[in-house]
Amino acid sequence: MASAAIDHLVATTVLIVAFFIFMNLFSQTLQAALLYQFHMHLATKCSDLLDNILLSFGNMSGVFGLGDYDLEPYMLNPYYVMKLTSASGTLVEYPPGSGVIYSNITLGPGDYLLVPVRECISYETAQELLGIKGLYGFQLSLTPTISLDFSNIEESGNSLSFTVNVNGDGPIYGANVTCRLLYVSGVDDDGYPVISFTEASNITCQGGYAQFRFVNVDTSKNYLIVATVKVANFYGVGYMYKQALTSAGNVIPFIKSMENGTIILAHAWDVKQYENSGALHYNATYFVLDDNWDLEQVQLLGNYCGLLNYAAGTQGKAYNQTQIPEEYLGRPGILVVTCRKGNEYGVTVMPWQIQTLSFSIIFGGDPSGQEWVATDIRQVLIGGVSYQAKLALWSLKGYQVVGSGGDRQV
Amino acid sequence: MMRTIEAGIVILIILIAFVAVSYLIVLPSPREVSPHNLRALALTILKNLDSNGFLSEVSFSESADSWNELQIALSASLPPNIAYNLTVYEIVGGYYIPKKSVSNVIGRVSFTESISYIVSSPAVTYRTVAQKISENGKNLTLYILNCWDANGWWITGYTAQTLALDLYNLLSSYFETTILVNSTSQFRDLLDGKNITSNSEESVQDAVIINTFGEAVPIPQEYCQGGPRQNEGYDFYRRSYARFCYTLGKKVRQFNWKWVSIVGYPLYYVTNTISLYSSQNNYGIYGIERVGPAGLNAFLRGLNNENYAYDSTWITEDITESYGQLVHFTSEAYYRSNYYGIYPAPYQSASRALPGLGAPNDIASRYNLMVEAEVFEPVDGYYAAATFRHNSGRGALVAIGLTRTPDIRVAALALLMYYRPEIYKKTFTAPGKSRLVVLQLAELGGM
Repeated sequence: MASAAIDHLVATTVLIVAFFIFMNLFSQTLQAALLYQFHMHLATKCSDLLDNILLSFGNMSGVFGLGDYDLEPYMLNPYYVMKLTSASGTLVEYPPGSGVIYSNITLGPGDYLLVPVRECISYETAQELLGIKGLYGFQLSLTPTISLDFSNIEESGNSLSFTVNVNGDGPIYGANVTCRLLYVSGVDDDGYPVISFTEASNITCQGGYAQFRFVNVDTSKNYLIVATVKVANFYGVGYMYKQALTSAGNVIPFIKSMENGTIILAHAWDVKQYENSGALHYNATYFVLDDNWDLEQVQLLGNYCGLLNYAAGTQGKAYNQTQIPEEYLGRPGILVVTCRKGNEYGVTVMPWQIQTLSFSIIFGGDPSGQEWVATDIRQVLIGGVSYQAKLALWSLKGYQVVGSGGDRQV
Repeated sequence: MMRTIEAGIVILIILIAFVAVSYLIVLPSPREVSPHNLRALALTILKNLDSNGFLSEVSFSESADSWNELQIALSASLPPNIAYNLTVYEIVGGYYIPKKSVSNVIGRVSFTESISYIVSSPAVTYRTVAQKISENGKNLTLYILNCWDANGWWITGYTAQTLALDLYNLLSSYFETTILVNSTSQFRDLLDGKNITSNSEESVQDAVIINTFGEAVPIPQEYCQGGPRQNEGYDFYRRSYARFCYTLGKKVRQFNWKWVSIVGYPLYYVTNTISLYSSQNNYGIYGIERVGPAGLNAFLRGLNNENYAYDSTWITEDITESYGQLVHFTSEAYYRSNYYGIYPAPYQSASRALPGLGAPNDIASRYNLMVEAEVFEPVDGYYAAATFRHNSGRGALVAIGLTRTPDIRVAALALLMYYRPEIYKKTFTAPGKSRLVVLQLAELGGM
């Protein structure tokens, strides 16, 4: 009797233990399958959401989209793209303490696109308009697919030679590259730098590069080269400048209003970038681009040239304001601001429509640290320039989220 | 002991089951779980390549340079880990004959996705010509109300002016003359039967008038209270502008107009931002005064050549609310939607559907109307979007009783369904000038 009871107890105990072990094992398999289902759903959602963003018309109220009714599908409106709050640069307040915040795309010491946040669309607003607030986080990046790099730059007397390398997936050969050289040819009677420009074209060789040589140009002070290439019906853009900074920094352009094209030109010292508040003579030059990407110089309005200094009772002030004429606001353009401190010359460039200088943009949250991030890509055109639109999407709900499940903006 | 052995056997069975399940369940690789949508990527690339005719040009070209350029563009557009093969087929007698292909693959790759795209030779010109809408052999004039001195209602998110422009773009090719009515004083001239432009083709008689102001209808100042025509516009006894709606109904009959209401309850408000500047529609929009259901009833009385009477009976039905369903395109609407290339959503919410035969307050019998060109299937005798033509052949109301905000494509489709103008498709040069481009993609590397 006693052995039967023991047998019963042992058998029951073994069975119960085995039951729980197998429950655990089976649940792991089921959990893995469920997770896979969630991940697949996330990938589908990512693809849908990317199309939604690229194909919706951004001018409709209550809609977040980069498409345009007047353009073909997957051609983005450059202005809607400019209004995306950049996640790659820290927000800038200017003037300091004013509470006016700017979205910041800064690629180097002389490349800026600063757009007032009040005119931009924020990540949170985009999430709300897409109907995914609290459900999904995302990051949208727009990157040019064709890149142009410069190498072998040599200045010799009154000549400048360099090589332009054109790359897509690999070197692109047989492509027609056009280089526009904008150089400081001197100063006017008031001491403001004067810009001249010239251009040349060449075809890339088998290695995907083309060599250029400009003669009879004064490149001793400063210059900017803007190169464009046309591959099939896609454009690529690249640029380089000799030097961005003087010992007193340079002039930083802030778009005050996209609607009327007003631009603040601020001394880098006033933006808290440099300690040296030395006076800078500047000259802002604006070029609009036609359908063939030829540059046409346009006279800016307001204080397109002037003197910037620390504004302590002397002539000049820490910033000035200029304006793009209304009739050119709808066209792509490039703002070039040259500045001078003694014999030092600095330069800053700003695209009016990001594609004119092939700026990339990142918009949205930070996918790092998320347990599973689905991505999808499309090819889009922004003003004729080929970009890759990539969306990274992650869930803020459900089993697949580790940690607190919160969303973080870059 | 026996029980322990039995328990062991049970454990063994479960273990075998677990092993079998684990063996049979093959979880997909991460790439299969979270794939890139290569078809969509391929489509965007082909579409962008053809955005200014480059792909079409190359597809019909024998030039090695052009094909090299196409290959370079493809390579530049695709991520490095994507293998591609683009093949152009000539279409001859229903057969697809491969003409040329480019690829970045050496050896064999199993392509997982493909997308096809039809291109036309640059030498071919396709052209469509729309038949002009006419009645009794006479080309009709389209008037679109675009009055600056009026406000809209139930057109949230739009302005009447933007809607007017969109309608102009959608419909002007179907009419010999399309005219924007830019003020209520021009609208008054129309009510007087006068032309408002110097265009010799303009004709007020038999015209189509689209009211872009939603549930509100512009009222000229003269018809407002205190104006020289107040007796035709204002019901002093009821303190209502239903009288103006009655006058409008009479004019629709007199001039054989087709009056198009683009959304909601027709003629529910009147609007004039000058004469009615101090009035508001109970929702804070000034320049609008509520007429209520009496407006439509008075309009229909006018259209039916009856004497004026004030009747504030609510006659429309909220199909979405009452029947818990959306309204669906008729088969004719699907066909015409494809025919004219106008694609509003085929399922819509209708909260102001007008009653026809079989429904309470049936306006078809009551006012001698014939229901024609139904855009949506009727629900229990209620029509969400249709043309109500008077049996006398004089005057019609095209009523789109959908919920706000308006989709003016529905109004355009309703009008085109009523008149059914032909689209003449013309192809110049030789036939058989289309080629099929197939782009195949495969993702390489990774798991």
